[in-house]
Amino acid sequence: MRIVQVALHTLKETTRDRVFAASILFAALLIGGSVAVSPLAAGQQDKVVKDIGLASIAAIGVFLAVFVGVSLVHREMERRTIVTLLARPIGRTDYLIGKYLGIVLTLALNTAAMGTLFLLLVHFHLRTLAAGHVAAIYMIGVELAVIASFSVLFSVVSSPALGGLFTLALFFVGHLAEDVRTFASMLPAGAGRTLAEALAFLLPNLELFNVKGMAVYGKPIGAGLLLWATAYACGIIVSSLLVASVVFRRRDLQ
Amino acid sequence: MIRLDGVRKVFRSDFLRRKKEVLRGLSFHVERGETYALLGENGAGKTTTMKILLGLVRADGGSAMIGGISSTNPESRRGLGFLPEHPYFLPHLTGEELVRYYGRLSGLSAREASAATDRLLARVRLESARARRIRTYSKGMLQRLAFAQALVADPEVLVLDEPLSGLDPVGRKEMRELLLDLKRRGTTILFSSHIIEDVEKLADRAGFLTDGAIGLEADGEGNERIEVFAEGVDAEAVAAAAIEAERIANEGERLLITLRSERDLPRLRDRLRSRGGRIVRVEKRRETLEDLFVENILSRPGARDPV
Amino acid sequence: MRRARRAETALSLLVSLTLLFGLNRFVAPAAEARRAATTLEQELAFYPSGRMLKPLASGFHNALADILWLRAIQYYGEHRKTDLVFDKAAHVFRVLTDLDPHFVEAYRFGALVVVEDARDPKSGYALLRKGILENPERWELPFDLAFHHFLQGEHGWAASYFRRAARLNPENQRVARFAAFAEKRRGGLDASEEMWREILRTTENERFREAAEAALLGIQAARDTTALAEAARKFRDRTGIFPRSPEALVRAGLLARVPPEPFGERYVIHPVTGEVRSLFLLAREVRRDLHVLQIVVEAFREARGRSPANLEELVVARMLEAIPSPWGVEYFLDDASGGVEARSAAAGLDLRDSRRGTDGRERA
Repeated sequence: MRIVQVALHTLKETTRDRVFAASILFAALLIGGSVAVSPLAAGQQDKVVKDIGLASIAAIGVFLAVFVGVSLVHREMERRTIVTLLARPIGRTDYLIGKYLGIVLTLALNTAAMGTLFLLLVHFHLRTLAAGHVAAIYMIGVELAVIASFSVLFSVVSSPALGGLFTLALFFVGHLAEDVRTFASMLPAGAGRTLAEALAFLLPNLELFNVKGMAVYGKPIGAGLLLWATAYACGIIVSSLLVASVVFRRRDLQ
Repeated sequence: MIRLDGVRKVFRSDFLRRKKEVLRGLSFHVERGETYALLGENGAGKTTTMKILLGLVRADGGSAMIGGISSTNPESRRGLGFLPEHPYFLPHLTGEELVRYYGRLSGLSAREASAATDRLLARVRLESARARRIRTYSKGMLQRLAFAQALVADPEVLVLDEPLSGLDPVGRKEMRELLLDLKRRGTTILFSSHIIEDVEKLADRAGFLTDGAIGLEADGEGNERIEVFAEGVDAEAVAAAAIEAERIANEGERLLITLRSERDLPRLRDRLRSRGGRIVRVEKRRETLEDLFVENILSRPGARDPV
Repeated sequence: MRRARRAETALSLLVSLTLLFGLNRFVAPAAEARRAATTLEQELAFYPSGRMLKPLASGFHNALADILWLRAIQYYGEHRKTDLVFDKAAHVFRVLTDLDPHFVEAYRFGALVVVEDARDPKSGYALLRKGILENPERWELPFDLAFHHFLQGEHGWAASYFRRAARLNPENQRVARFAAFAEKRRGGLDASEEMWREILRTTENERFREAAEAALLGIQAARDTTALAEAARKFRDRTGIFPRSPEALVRAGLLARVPPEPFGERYVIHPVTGEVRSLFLLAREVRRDLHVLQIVVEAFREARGRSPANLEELVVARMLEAIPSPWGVEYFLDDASGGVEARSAAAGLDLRDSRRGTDGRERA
């Protein structure tokens, strides 16, 4: 299928990019570093290593999702390399989905690589590996897929610089979605409040995917949570890519 | 095979918010197996026309079809190859990866795509560079690669934007030969150019893109015309005779009537006789494309002076 | 043609937003229900010190302070409903006020929580003193500080801060009178009651209001308790035993009527000691004790790798000063559940009788 073709080629492109290799190296350093630092953690080694490990995987993943995602589509449009490609019998939507999947594959690879490193560390060095840790890494991957969909959307709609900014902004706002809702509910009652609350209800709640704490504190992460969260993610991805696709189809490629 | 009807396109210049109507009611068609040349000044809209045909740009009005399928439908490009004026390709891929990739996107199986890639890379003489990344290619190599990717799916229709410009004489000869070869095999070819000589050698028909539409169409070799010199009648009388003359002008004491075809001659002779005129002289003239080009494009009001 | 394209984009946006709305309404809650919300404790691990954090937040510290404020409210609400343990409160409010030193409400509410709920007066005082330093023109801060000192029985400090507050707010007569109360070392329920009424009158803060109302109810209960205890003693002098319930006192003619317990429960009289307590307040104290004991037991487990044999072992291990026993309630370690339970020596009394939560509302 053509979408698969585009996806695989995108993967090829990103993995040949130096940024990708650098990110894995960086992650390895961070995770390794946390082990070195942990003796200073006064008995809290276990927690510190896990906390920093998971946080690193997430942070680097976000960086990649924004950086790679936003520049990818835009770069092709800018450099006109896209012209000969779309002169093939491939629709714009298929192309976009293929690109998105390529980015997701890249992020999945990246997360899996760092995740494996982390899990090995937890198992051999700390000897406290649990299913929850794997679940936490999965959820990080899911969140990254959502952020990637934002990147693709913004890269189609605006320039890489602005697009990156918007994606990051949406990332932060998404994590504060519940607080925004609380803010809105604290406004004086009236039309303004209803409007604010409705708007707040349109924000994607990214905090939903944050189970790092649960993993570190050993709280069980059930299949139900994973399923619902995945469903939620799919919904957001569909909605982002829908708008991206429509806007992309409108574009004249000069 | 290719049909454009009443295509319109408006561009907005963002800075000054001016609207520029690039294409107004553009219509032409290319029959299966025909080679059609789109002629026009730079900026006339040749590239835009092609891009509309390829679904890369959306028209504001009218329709564009390939093989009966609308250009907005990706399926219309199934048997199509495109060579842009300035080809750009994904720099991180190698030459053979790119051709194979495009082959797959065009619907070839993995095996078919590999075979086609081998064949074409040999044909365009890029064998030695096939495993190098595209970012290392020279301009000439890019051009050849562009040709290879255009042909990878053995297309029925080939669209080329200024395929011969920017090539050295050797390259141009090669390209012309390749195109003629494809033409012989029955490929429908649409290309744009502003080099008359190339058009004359390759095209069956040519269309002149002026003021956003096809103002004039001509045979590849120009138009054959019958010039009739007549005496004893005046222009109005001839015009009133409703003869399909392309042009009626006074040449000194005589009247010069330009007919499109010899078949109109007997009718003209009868009409003249009935008005009391007679034919003095008949000349067959071929208006070369160049003549037409100059006449139609460069002589428009507001046109640039020929360089 | 262009209009059609615009319509297409608008439509896709609409569909997209509707989808998002639907997701947030139906799918997200299902996921959220299965997820343990990030505890404030974990987040606090990332806020080592407000002073360090401020430059990092570079310009957004007010917003950050606001977010932290929301978290603090959440924290308070959550723990009030569950274990009534607020040991992180001081830290939270400290960081919060470092980020935004003019957030007066944070000092006031923070001190209230820290002193009253977290039972850490020293930290509460420190918080308010910092607030006074950063906001010397605000009378509410020294007033609150004075008030807390007063409730803790430190009349000297109370008087001094009341005077300070009075100087900053000369129109308010009552503040000056409180200063007088404190100076004369007059404590007692009357003074407290008046102060709480003052708070109730002047504050706009929801929670202060709630705290004041609860305190006033508590004062009511204290008065009733004293009266009941006296009547119970008379009963014992007459009959040799303590009465089973306040109704018995009424029947014996020692009391006009049974005072209604302000929290909707009843008053109970200990059959052996004659101690009178509001059942609601007693239950609350017991719950608090149970949670604290549970924490100590778990700390023991973590340190020693096994469960303690009984609660006394905790005292021996110096992890606990003494085992509390309010109103003669006995705490013990349940081997079956591994948790700390309570039982009352007084026959026929079930402390799980109280179906009300500590916030006064009926529990489901």
